[in-house]
Amino acid sequence: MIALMYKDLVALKKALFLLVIILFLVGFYTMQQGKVMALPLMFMLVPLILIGMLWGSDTKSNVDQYIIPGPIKRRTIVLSRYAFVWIVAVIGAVFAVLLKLFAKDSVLSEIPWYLIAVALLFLTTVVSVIQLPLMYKFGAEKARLIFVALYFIVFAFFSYVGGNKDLIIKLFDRLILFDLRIIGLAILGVTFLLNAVSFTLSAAIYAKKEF
Amino acid sequence: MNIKIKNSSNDPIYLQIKNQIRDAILNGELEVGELLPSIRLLAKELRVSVITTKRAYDELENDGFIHSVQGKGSFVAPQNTELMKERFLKKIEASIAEILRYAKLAGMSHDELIEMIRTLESEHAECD
Amino acid sequence: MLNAIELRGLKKRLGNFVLGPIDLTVPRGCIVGYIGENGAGKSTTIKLLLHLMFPDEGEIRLLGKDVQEFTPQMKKDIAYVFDDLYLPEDMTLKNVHNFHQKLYGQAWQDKTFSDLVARFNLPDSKSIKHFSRGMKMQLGLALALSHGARLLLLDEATSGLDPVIRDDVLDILLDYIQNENHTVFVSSHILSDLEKVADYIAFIHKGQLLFMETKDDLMNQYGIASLSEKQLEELDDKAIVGKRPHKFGVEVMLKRELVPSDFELEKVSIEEIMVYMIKGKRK
Repeated sequence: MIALMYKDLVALKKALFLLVIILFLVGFYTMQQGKVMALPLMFMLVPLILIGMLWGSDTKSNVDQYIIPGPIKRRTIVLSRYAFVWIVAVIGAVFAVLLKLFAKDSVLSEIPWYLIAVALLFLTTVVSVIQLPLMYKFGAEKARLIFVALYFIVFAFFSYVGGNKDLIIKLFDRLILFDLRIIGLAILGVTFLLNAVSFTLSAAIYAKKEF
Repeated sequence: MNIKIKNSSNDPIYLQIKNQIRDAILNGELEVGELLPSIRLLAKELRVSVITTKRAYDELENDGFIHSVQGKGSFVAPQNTELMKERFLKKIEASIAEILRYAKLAGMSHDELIEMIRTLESEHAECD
Repeated sequence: MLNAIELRGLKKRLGNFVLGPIDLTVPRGCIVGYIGENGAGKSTTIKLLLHLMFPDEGEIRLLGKDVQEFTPQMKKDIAYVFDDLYLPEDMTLKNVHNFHQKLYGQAWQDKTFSDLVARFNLPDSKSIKHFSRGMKMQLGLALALSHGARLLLLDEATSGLDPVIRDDVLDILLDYIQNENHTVFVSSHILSDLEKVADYIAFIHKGQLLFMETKDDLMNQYGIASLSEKQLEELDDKAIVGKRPHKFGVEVMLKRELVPSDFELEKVSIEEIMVYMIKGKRK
């Protein structure tokens, strides 16, 4: 498992470096514009981009064929993919909470920290969770089409959020009537469930895959 | 000990190896009790199959030239009389060839040679 | 545990191609050349052995154990080299080393690996995308031999390499086989150099295993003769394995036991056996 994550890090070394720079640039820009909330949302895209890159690198080098006969279970290989997403998600959540504490933003300051954390966990994993089983099922070629579709969905979501700030605030106003901690727990539960189902699905697909 | 494998030879490779080791034992190049290279080492050095060297050793063992000890290797067997006889006959042959060459140079006849052998033989008997 | 590989009724369907049923036993301590044309089913067999593919029917046992029951720990006993090094090409030798250290844990032998790398003269900090095909193969072999595996599978690993590197590989394989618990299974469509050291030759054609015999028996079994058409007609039909007619006569590969003993036959190579057998089957 550690070996696989090491391999992923080496394969993505340059891309990760670039990504951190881009995140800093975007972060700086959003700070200037006073739209700090956009930055944590950027994290939604990070796993999507990284998984896409990893997939490309793995397909190109045919590394699965090399690893599967090695001293590792197929399940662990799939798990390492998900672990990658989870790590990014946790970093995103921590990052967002820190932003809330240190940067003053009108939207963020109204939401409690734990809700921000679980929302980030949900948002950063949800796309990958849909994407990964599809990629395992349909392979690199069709996965590219799926990527494009997912990008569109994400961008549609972004523009929707951007254009309907009032709606979001209204939604929050209504939700605020419930206990926010229960909402947080519910989001966390849904996130866990989605990830577990997705992982089980991917592992089952991968277990039967031939190379 | 040198072993040469000739691909052009009509003899199979195992036989080439067997004959060369047998000759080395017969002419004393390999001494009784000497440890022979392992089957695997020999195969590696000669770049032949392990099965080939194993067959050569098996046949040498069947012919009584070597004996194998499990886990220790193959050794040159103490030579039985039959073997020694073959070994000495070879030396005698070589010596006689030389004698005949000198006899011809000295112009000795066949009978004179035999007489000479008899005289020498009786002298040896007295010494004993 | 006496057998390194045991295949019982192994069958695999891939579209129109059917592999098997194959029954094959490889005793431990030997080198087996698994030969056949491209597309004969060599790679499919090796992928089945490595659990990259799953058989439709039959049983695969490696080192005495059913492959379905292999745990990650047991898989350390199996080493493999493919025709390419299937690792991310941005990795350097150092990265590859670290990766395998983590992957194999206790079983990994640092010294064996660095010795082999030194022997092959491989660069430390160059990324493997700049490695030549020969260097990749050497690295693959060094990796395969550095975790104490008892069975080494090579799939077309030496094809397309220059003769000097092939010779090095041969030396390494012979070193490896000095331990009588070690076994090497090599698939290839060119065997001119391997035929020197292989103990057994297994021949696969269109998914069927035609034979597996000791190389010595195989080479003694057949001979090649140049004949006239008339001489050919006098021969027992069963003795003829394959022939190559040309304008000035005909070259035939014959079974030695079925021709008169005074018949002059030349030695055959494994490649010639392969060619004549395949061509013989065409007619």
